Amino acid sequence: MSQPSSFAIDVPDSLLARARRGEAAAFEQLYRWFERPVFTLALRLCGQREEAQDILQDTMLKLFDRLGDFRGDSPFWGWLRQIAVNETLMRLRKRGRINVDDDAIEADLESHEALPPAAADAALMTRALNALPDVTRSVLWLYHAEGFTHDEIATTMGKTISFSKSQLARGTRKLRLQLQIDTEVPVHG
Amino acid sequence: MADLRSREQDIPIAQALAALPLEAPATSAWPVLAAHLAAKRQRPRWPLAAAAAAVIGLTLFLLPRMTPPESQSVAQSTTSGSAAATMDSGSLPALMSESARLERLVATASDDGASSASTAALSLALEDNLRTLDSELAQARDPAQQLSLWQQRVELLRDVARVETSRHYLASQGRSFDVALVSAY
Repeated sequence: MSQPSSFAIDVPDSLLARARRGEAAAFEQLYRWFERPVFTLALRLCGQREEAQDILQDTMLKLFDRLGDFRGDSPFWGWLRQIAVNETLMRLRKRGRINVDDDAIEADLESHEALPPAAADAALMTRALNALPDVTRSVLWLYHAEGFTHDEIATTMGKTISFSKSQLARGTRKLRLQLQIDTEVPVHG
Repeated sequence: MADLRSREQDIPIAQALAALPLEAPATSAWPVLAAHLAAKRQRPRWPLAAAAAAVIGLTLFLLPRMTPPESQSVAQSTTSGSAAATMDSGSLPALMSESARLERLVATASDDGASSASTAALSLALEDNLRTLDSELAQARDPAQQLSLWQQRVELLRDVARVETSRHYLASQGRSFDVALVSAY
């Protein structure tokens, strides 16, 4: 069961209406609320702080330019999150960091849904995540942290559902292994 | 036994990821965004959109004249891919596969870090269209609409591929994409 996404902030319709009218204060409020969720998502997917900073800026520019297109039939935060995901994946694609050979899809999709106790250590967990390939980490994050389904991940990444499942299983195994390695490093006295 | 005890202490992945703190950027993006908003209020949007549309239309119209035989074969190969996709338009996986193939082609062709201002602007305009399509795809639930959007995505990627392969050919001949564009015009 996924935890609520950090994006899940209810934005009042009145604030959106003010932003649509072009009020800078309303835009600034939206920026303040979503700065960290957008930056964190970008960082988790691309793995680089400088790039995440650029993605944050580009996502917010898109938000400002396209707010008039938001129809309001789904939560605003979900719409903004999709812009952030698309911006990040576009950059990964452009650098060839998302083009995993489809032949590499594994037949064995079994994976554990849990991690060793070392996962409670934020520093160890972050290091283990960063050791994963961008595409694998992206699938893992979108599925577990953002609550995307395999179908949604496949659509967003332009891949198949099997690809998403395979990357998730592979990422989970690598994460477990990495966390076990990290906690088994001998301490030299 | 020890392994069993250790398994009991395992943490669900979603819980471990949710426990990670939110990250903050080194510097606020707000000053840049505020400047963008201020500038936007001072200028009408349509001239930029019209200019981008004109550049895309003109370039794609002129490309066949500038494109070498080899590149035409690439174009033909993408066209034959298009034909196959059109023939197999009932198959979403076929379109997705074609889209992935074209993305790999574009990523390889555009990975030289060298592009002129006009090709960069052209690429950005096409990418902008691609992002809009991706946003619509993420919200599309109707299979017919998904199919239509994926077909548009493949067509758009084919346009990007044509621009990139032409640029590469001209560069290999010591010619500039910009100059060729002006000459052809």
